[in-house]
Amino acid sequence: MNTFKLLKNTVLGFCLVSGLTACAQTPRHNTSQSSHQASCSLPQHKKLTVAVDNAQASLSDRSCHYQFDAIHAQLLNIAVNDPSSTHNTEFRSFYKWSIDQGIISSLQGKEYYTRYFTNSFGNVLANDRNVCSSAANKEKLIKSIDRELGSKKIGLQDIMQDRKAYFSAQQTHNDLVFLIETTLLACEKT
Amino acid sequence: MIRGNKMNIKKNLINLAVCTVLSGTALYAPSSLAIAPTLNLFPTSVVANLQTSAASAEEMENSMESIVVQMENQAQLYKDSQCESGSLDAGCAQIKKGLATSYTKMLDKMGDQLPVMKQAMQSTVNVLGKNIRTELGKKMTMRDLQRVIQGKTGAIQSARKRSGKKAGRMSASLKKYHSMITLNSNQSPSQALLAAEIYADASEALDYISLLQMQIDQSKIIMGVGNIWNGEPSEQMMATVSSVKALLFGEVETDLIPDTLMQNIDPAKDDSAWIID
Repeated sequence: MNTFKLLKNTVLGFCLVSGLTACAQTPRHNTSQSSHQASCSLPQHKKLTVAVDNAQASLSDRSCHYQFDAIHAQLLNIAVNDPSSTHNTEFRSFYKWSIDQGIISSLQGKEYYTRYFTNSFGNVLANDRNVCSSAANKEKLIKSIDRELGSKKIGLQDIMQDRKAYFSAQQTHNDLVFLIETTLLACEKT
Repeated sequence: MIRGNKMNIKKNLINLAVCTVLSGTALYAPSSLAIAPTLNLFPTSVVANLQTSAASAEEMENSMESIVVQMENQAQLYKDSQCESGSLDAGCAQIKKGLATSYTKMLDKMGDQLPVMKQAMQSTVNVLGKNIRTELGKKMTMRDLQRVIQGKTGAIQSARKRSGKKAGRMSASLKKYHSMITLNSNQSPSQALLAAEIYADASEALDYISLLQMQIDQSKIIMGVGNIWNGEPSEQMMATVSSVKALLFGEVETDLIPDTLMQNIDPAKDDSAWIID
């Protein structure tokens, strides 16, 4: 009987200790999670090259891949305050690394690069239907082209400080909008 | 012997087949190279219409310029002499009479010359519109349009700010367009922008002409019905004069963005594989 009681107490005691241990482990689990989140933090360094290294360190953790857009936006902000004519190369390397790591697709990499560091508006221009059939989306398209020019201002003028390249983008923008509007006007008057 | 003949026949057949293929290739290759993608935007009728429009515009400009200046001077004199306050002064009456005469002269001249110009412009708009719709609207995608623009050469100097109105005299623009088409007779891709520019200008000119004709008709009615108008400068009159000036003399704007920007490509910095164009 005593043996049974002793056994019963031992089991109960074990359960109690297990329960307490489980409770005690919860905060430890939280600590681990918060340190995990900290590793996805946005780069803060004011030099772009260092910030890119930090970004790559964060993104090396698969669970941080969802942060790519935020990290990329932060890198652009850092680059605006640390401008250089060669930063397009820095970003291209970052995109290439991100493609190699499987964080973004090859097409996404090209889209980012085209959007910020070239005078092409190919990102927002359809290539699968003729111009006349895009008439219904004209306003939306023109807005996208305008937004794209805004991104080029950040990349070409603010980050690379290449006024000539940005002027070229502005001119392409103006010519493109003019040609689209005129062609669609001609399409309407069938 | 028979075997040898068979061999010869076989050899000849092979030679014949090879020759046929080669000659076919030779015939096909040059023709396929010759038919490089071209933009068929400027038929001869457009060139002829531009010539007619330019001549008509120049004639109008020459005859209108002195009348417009005269009218502006008379209106200024009318204002400076404080005739606006309804003065019965003989001088004011004379200025009003002078203004009325100038205005009538302007309306008559415009009324005579506008139909010729309208017809030429309408024809330009119709033909160019059809060609732009076919060549750019139906055969090209949006990305193709960008490629056309990026293939643009320095030959195209923008005569207007894209979002603004045409700059300078109408006859000068039309003559410039005419010479550009004639010089670029090889149908280069940059002709797309030129065609769009002419089309937009001609459409805009047509709108002005229609507006002017309406204003002329209204003015003539007002002047004709029982002397309602006594020559006093009216909003109607000033609007008509403004339309004439806008149509013929344009609005001069300075384009701040240089038209041609030469880009030197450093092979080390070549990023062409990264661009979606």
